[in-house]
Amino acid sequence: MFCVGFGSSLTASAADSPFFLDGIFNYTFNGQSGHFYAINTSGAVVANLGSNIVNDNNLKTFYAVQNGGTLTINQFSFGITDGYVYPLIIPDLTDYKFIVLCFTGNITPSDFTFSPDTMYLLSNEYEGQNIAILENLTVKTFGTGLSGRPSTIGYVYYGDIPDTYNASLINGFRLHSAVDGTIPHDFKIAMYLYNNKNNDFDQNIDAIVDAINNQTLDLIDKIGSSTEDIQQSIEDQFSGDPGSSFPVEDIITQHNEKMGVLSFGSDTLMQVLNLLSPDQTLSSELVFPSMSLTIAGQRNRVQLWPEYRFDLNELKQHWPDFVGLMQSLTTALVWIFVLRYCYRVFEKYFLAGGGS
Amino acid sequence: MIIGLITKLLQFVTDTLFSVIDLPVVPAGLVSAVDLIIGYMRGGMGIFNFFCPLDRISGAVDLFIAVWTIEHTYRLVLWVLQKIPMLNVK
Repeated sequence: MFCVGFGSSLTASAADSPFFLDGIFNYTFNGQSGHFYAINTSGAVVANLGSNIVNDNNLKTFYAVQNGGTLTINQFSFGITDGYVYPLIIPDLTDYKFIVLCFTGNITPSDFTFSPDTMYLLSNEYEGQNIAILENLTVKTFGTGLSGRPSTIGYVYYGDIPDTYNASLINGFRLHSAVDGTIPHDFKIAMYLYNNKNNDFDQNIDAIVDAINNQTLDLIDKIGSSTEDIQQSIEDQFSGDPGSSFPVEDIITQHNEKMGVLSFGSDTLMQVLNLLSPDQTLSSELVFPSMSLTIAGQRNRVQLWPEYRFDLNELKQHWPDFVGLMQSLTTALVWIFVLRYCYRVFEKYFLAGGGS
Repeated sequence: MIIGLITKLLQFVTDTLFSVIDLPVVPAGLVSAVDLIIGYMRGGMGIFNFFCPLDRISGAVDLFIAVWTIEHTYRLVLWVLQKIPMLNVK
């Protein structure tokens, strides 16, 4: 099972932490549906995991389930289908400083490493390449493990939201990361917004770390129990036993398989076609790979030269007139070829009187 | 604009096709291979874009696709009509 959750309910009181979390419960999630996506290194969606919502008093949990299989991913994304985050996130973010994401699962850390570097706030749902990034938040890390969780890989990251941010525009989150390994099963992800009211982050980092760790553990427990409850409910009600008439598990599996292929096929095609789109951001870097040699009989590898990257845009900075002239000439050349082709077609069918 | 329309059309076709045919999960190796290839293509387009900016030639590409499509559609229609003896189209 692959499990992803989005939660926003925290249990610690203000007395034992530097956070004042009361306000976080007061949101209503408009639309109440969304999708989690697992995204590969080139931005293609390799699995649309869907989502479910669990309401348990003051705990709202979004999760998705995938039965079996493995995923090779680079990013996770959560997009809201027909709603918006606001007022999930308070319009005035002065006191709400962090979006925290926590990974946990029953896999050994050596099998899978996950190193986020940027957390994006999106103005729309993740739809393949069509993302609108509102803000890039540099991801900071505290703790690579959560105490008291044997065989659990637990990471907590956060991005610091600017105080004056217009949160009503936020419609999704996306976490970019370096990933090594695959996710086998039993994996959970949770995202929260933390209130930092009346506290200075830089001066209270240790206390904040402790508080978030503690609160994260509480939330993980809640997410785990909620998810298990739902799973148990599904198994009980639709297990094929007398009184059960609907093979939900099979349908979920088939749906995810289809969605995996569908997303992969569609996004691969879209990526190829989007290569011609003038709206995309293309890197004009030339990369010269590093070169290393392993000498027989010696343990060490000798690096002959490191990787070198050269951005062609540097030419534009040094010789803007030359580059501009070159681009104008190539553009003119393309237009001339196309117009010549058009004229030949026109001549063929209208001047010469037929195209047979 | 035309490229955008083609993209949406193909996406509709693939969506319809994949929703009918039940295929297994994409193997991780295939995903990695496709990623690698698309990464190379993207890198190549980045360099091409530096020498010949896509935003300046997108109109030319649209025009070329439109004229090419019209010409070949006309020829296809004409070829079909020529197969009907009663019409006597030459």
